[in-house]
Amino acid sequence: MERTRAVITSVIAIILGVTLLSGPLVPGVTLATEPEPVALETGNVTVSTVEMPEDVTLKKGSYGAASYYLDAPPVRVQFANRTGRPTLVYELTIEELGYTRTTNHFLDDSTGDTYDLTLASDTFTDEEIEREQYNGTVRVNKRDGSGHGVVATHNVTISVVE
Amino acid sequence: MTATEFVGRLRQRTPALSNTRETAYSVLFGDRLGLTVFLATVVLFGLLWRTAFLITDSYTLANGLYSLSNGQLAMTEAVYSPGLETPGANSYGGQRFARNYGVIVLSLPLVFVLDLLTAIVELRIALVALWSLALLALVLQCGRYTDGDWVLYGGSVAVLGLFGLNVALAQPLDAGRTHLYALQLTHLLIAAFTPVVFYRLLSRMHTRRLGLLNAVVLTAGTPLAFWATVPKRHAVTGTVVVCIAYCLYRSRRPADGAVITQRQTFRALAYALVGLYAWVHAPEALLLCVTLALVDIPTAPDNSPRTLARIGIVFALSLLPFIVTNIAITGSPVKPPRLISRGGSLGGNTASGTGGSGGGGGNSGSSGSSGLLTPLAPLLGTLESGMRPLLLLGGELVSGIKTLQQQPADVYHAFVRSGSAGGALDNTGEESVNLSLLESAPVLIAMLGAVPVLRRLRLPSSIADRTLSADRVTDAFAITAFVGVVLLYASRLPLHAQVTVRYLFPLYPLGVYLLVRLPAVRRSLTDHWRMFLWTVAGTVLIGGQVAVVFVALTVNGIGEAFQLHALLALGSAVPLGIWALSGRSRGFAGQIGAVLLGATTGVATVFLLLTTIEYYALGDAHLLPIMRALGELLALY
Repeated sequence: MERTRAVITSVIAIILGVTLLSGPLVPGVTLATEPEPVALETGNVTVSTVEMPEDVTLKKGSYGAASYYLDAPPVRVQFANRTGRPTLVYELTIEELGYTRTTNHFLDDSTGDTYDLTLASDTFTDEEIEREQYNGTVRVNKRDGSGHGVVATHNVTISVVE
Repeated sequence: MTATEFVGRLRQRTPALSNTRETAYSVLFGDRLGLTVFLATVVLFGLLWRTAFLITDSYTLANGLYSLSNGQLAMTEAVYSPGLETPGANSYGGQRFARNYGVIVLSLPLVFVLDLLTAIVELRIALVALWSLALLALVLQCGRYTDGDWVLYGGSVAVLGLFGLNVALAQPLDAGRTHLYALQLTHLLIAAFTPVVFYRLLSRMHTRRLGLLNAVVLTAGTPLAFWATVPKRHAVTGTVVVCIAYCLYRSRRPADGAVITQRQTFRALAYALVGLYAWVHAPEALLLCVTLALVDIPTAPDNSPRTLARIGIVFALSLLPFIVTNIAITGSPVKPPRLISRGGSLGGNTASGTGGSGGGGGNSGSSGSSGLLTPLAPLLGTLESGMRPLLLLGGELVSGIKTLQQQPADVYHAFVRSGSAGGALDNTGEESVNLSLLESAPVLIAMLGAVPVLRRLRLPSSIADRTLSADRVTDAFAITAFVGVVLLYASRLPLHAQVTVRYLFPLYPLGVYLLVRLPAVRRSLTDHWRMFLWTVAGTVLIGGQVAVVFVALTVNGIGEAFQLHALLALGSAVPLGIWALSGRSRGFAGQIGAVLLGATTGVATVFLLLTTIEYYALGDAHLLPIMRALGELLALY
């Protein structure tokens, strides 16, 4: 009984003690830290080859969901040179829908020589989709220490799949 | 002398202290198991707590609390939202007012406590510490039910480990948003009492084991945990309904409590709860008041004028905070802030959501009520102002009945299968994220077990005795309240921004109560409780992983994910429904029942966990750093 009580008391004491440490009462100790801000769009990136997607689709939602889902396969890029923390952007434009979607990819030293750029999925309502096919443009942009630029552009046909 | 010795001696010397502790126990939790249920629920809700706004309606409450904490009843600054024009905010005399003042006032002390904490310690660490202490208390309680101290030692190590991990991953919590946290904490604590009171009711009616099992069904098998930390009325409504049922039950049993020694006190307390709830949401309180009076007065053993007068006085007193707030804002005691604008119709008032307008349902509701008013108007004359709320309620219920008859498709979408319910999506073009009642809590299908019971039911040869037993009165209240809530909101559903048909939230505790009152379900749970619990655990731990894989492989967005869970829920509900209809619970049939009840409960838990971790992670704003890390780790689409 004494032993269990001692265990409980010490656990409580540790929890309360650490909590007190976190505050201004004990200057110099920071327990909760904001993630360090990373300097983005630095360094340099040169892309040697780009494999653009061919079959972008708008798929009717499965499981009875009332929407169409944008499904764009990834763009595969190979780097000739990559330093620092450059950003690559996958951009899809469907002019007939007045629609543009971009997904940013923040590269760093852990990125390999080839990289799959993905586009985050999006939804359209039944009312928005009126045709069976749309024309779109896939563009890969880069943002690095030397500024912004277009890496590659490609026209795609977007088919609506019921 | 150590601190514990000191406390021990103090306790020996002053029996009053331990008496106070015992009294607090019995008033709040009933017994030790009640406390365990409370702690387990708080720990679960803490895990799922995200310090962000799920729904724009909560802006109104947060801004209202901010103003009140600065001594202003009217909303002064839009600290938490782009503007003061948020759902539920109302203008009066050129000023804007919030709603749900009951919970706003209750949250006020917590704002000061949290502000005080931010001055001394880092708020994130403080809240993590509180959660860890709740977990430690839970370990302590569980340790008392096991032989040996291994639970206690192992648990203590686990608590310390989790605390350490949380601190290691911690990021500062924005100390300027204490009003939001205070509101969430208030709702969390109130919601935690739903399973506690539910356990107390059923442990008195049947056994403690059955009470405990059904606290599990309620907490894990319904969206209670999803709404627990959302500053909206829903979690409060659930607790109030269960508390009323509990008080009603106690009012028909011999008083055996330490504090309350008269049955009448419990009866008055039931009405007082309704009166206090009017301070949070007047239209629903009115419905509960009518329901309670309809069930209580005709069945009570004692309706002498003196008793009724006493109850009336208590009820009137309980309405005081509501009336005072109304007078302070509108100058009229019966006009709550929510009844001022929008033509004074209940329909317009209760319907609100993230999209702003309440949809077409509200209109049909008010036209239904005015249709009812017209022929009666000359008769009522001056009485009308006092009767008006009742007539509005009557109109709402009538239009609810009409909807049930005339729009079966809408009812089907709201109660059975949501899918691509067009009407719900027209407003904002959002995705299919509004589940039906059954998709949110598939275990409720077991209520079909009422069919074989009713078929076998023989009406008593004499119904001369109108006085009902405690069980029957509580059943009558649960059924009436269930029907009342369905009718009140039937004309407005399906609607956007409901997620789990939140308007019908009271149906979750009421439904779980009603299904456990069915003999087949009860026997099946009691005889095979181990099997039930193992199935819940298996469904969550194994089925949860399968669900994660399925979502990762086949789902592109939140709408599809929700509909996948909806189909899983319905898929598990169908066999349970068939079992319930068969009405068998002996032998093998009982085992099947326990497994199916466990599976439907587990399916709802998986949905609940994935929703809070992934689908509605709200920018990974989890209170606990470990949950945030889990949310960041898991990217399913």
